[in-house]
Amino acid sequence: MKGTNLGEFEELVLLTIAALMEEAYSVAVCDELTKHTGREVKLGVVHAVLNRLEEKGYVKSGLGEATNVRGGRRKRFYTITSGGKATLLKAREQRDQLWSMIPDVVFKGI
Amino acid sequence: MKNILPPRWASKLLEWYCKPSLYEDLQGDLFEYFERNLHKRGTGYAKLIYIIDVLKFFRLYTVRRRQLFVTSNRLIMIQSYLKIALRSMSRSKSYTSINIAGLALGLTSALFIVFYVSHEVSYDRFHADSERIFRVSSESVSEAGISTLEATTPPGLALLLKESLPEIQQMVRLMPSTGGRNLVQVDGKSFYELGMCRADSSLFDVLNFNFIHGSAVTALHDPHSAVLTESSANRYFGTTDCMGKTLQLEDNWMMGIKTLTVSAVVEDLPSNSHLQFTMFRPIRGTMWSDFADDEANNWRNRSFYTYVKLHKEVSAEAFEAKIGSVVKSHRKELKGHFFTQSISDIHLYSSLQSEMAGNSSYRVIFLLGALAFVIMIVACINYVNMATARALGRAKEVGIRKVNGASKSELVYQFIFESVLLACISFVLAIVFVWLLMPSFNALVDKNFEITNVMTIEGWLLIFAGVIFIGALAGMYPAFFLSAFKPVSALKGTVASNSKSSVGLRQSLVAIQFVVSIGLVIATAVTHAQITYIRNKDLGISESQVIVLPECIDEARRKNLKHLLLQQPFVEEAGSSSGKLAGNFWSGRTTSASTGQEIGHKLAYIDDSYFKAAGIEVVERWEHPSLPDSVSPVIINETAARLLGLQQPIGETLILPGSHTLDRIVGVVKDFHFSSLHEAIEPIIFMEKEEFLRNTYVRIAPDSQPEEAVAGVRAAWEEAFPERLFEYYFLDQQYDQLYKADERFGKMVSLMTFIAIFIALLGLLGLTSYAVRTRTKEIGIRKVLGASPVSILTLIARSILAVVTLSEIVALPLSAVFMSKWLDSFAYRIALLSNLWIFIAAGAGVLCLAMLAVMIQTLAVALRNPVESLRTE
Repeated sequence: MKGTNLGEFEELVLLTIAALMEEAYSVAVCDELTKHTGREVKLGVVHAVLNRLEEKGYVKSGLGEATNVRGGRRKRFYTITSGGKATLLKAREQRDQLWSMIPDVVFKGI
Repeated sequence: MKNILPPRWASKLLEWYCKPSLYEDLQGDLFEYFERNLHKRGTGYAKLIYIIDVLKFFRLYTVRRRQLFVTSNRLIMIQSYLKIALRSMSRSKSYTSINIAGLALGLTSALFIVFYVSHEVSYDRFHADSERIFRVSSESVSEAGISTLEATTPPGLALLLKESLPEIQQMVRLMPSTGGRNLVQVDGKSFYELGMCRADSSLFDVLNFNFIHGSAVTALHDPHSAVLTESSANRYFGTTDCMGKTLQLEDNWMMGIKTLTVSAVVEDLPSNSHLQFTMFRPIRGTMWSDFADDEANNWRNRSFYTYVKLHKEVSAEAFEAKIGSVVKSHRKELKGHFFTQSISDIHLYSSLQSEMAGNSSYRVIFLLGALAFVIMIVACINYVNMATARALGRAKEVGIRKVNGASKSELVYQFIFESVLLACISFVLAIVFVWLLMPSFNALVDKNFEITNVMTIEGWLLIFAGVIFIGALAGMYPAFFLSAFKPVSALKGTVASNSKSSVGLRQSLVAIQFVVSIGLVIATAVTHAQITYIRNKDLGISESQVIVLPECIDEARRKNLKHLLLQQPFVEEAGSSSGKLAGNFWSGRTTSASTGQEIGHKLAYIDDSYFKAAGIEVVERWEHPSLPDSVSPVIINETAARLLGLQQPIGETLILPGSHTLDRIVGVVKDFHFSSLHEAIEPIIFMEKEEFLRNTYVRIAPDSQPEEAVAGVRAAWEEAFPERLFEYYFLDQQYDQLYKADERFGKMVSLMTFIAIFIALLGLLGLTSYAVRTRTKEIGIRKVLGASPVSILTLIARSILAVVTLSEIVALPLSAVFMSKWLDSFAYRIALLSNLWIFIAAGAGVLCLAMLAVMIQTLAVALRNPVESLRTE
């Protein structure tokens, strides 16, 4: 079923939101991702993913205070929900499990 | 630098399409990027990126929903619209019924035309792969280089093509019975078979037939087999279950009685096919056994229709070119060429010599379509007119609604909804009318439509969509006009429905209606005058009191019949001919020995009493010429003499081109019409020869009663041909038959005219009644101040009558031009100038009708006591 699964980029965005804590709004997420992944992340893509994550119930959002930058427009801040947290943990658990199944010899010599 | 802003239009665009909930922060994000880019890369780059980003954010999730019925609020509003519409309809019943009646009438006639046109257009499209089926037709060129386009081809052509062109998937030749009818006997009972056709056994592979009994493989295999259609099987055997039963058929070609066995029964061909046969026999084994020519080498007898089904992806043009080269290489001596016609084009686009059935023309279809369109326009104009005129009555309603917060678009929806509702009601009413009038319509156009099968579901849905569209379109102007009212002035009652622009619009719409109506009236009158002229034109022949007996086979028995006929009390004369007056004649070509002129002409064999019996006047006659046996005496008409260039035709010699056959002219008959008056009189040559004289003309005494005369003729027939059915017709009726299509067309046009005029007058009636009602007080005051009823009548009528007069000035010359074009299609036509009265009468008639409509409405008010009118409200 669509909506229960977490895509790779969605996971990255969700992690970034969790990491940025109070400061997670679209442009910041975008910058952070660019910094950490080293690839250029487009605002449009991030925006779409944020919207989708909210639809899935993994994040919730609210408008912040008006400031002088951004032409006086408010920012939309995102925070991770408990559902989002659970999904992230579950994704990590699945990975760990899979990692633990790999015998050491596989990566020897790399 | 601080004041540099992103492009305004891009921000506006974002604002326009973006969901309000997402708008603010998205705008903020883009602005942040814009500022960043401004510092790093400069103004131009930043602006460009901003624009690109705005465009890129146009996504499904950012775009706001704009559908009509997205909120349940809309649904509730529709219920409210419905309620309001019904209330407003019941409040003004006369207005509503005039409106609905006008639209329903227009729709009814348009529907009938749509039925007719879609039927005409659907001809022969039901065959499987009809786009790959073609008829091969031919051009033949005479010795003198005159070319004729014919639907028929020689029998050898099809065989040659099938053999040498791999493009042909299947080929079939059809050869309808010569002479038109064959006597059929089943268990001693006689019938005439009118639709006998010989065909190759591949018939069922090319054209669509549904088998009830038997199969396509064996149906036309045996020379003694016959395939019947459902209707002919029922006629002969009373059942379709007649496989293996036998019938006796009189064969016109082989001259003799054949016993045939029914090998298959197929469903009747649909009425939308140009092929209307009821019995099929194989060609193979029934034609060539004792015929001198070999079938494949016969290239002179052009009486075969050739149909081919091509393989997929073979283009007709390439195929046609190939026919040309194949024929050229095999038949060098052949002049003329062959060409293909798509089977579905034959009915509307083909009018070659010897077509199988009377084809229609796309021009008629186009004209009818235009007529339907015009009528719908008149009906729509009515609607718009009345709705706008009545606007004032609803101005207060609009005002209240606006005060209560209705937006302009909601009001527009409301009025368009009402209009669509009205159109739908009219549509339902129109369907009822169509259902009621279907029998009369069928009688008019000579078709068998039924409301249940005349259209496919898709067709009906399309029409319904059209109706909704018309409703919306007609409601558009009133809707915008009404919704634009300012609430304050609407409530104060200062909105003038008689504002200049709306009056101008209404009047020009009325003008259009009347231009159309007057044009149609003149078209009808001219058509009628032309048809009457043709019917009453002196044909040059005394065609009344002549009974025609077709199918007199066998010379000895025919002579006996003539002898018996002359003994009957009312019979004055009887004579026979090979050709049919007002029917078909043979064609031929001849050259004058002295002038060298070559002409194409009609040809008939006759006996010595034919001219007197048929009422043809002989101008000159060389009695008892002594001619050598090799020279035949012939009688020609005046046109033939003129075209041959002969001043003194008697005694002149005629030569059959390309041969040594000589004819000597021994008589001249006065020109008379032997075919339709669409065509000029053709040259005709008569030969006295006791052969093929199948049609006997019986002149009866002028004072005799037709019934008694027919009884006498019947008695003579039954004695001479006891086994054959007695069939007869009157010659003048046969002449009338020639104009059936014209007459039908005339009837249809006059019906449509009547409807258009009726709708236009209905509209005028409604408009005047409205104008009168809004001016009730004004009229009261005028009367108090001493105005006479006549001056009040003129006051109201003046503007409308001015419009009608203006449209007459436009319509009269226009229709004169159109009608004189139409009259050009007749060889004998009335002159418009000598029929000016038509125009005057039509103009005056329409003006009078309009005056009457205005008068009826105005008179009551003009005569009313002013106190009453001043007291209204």
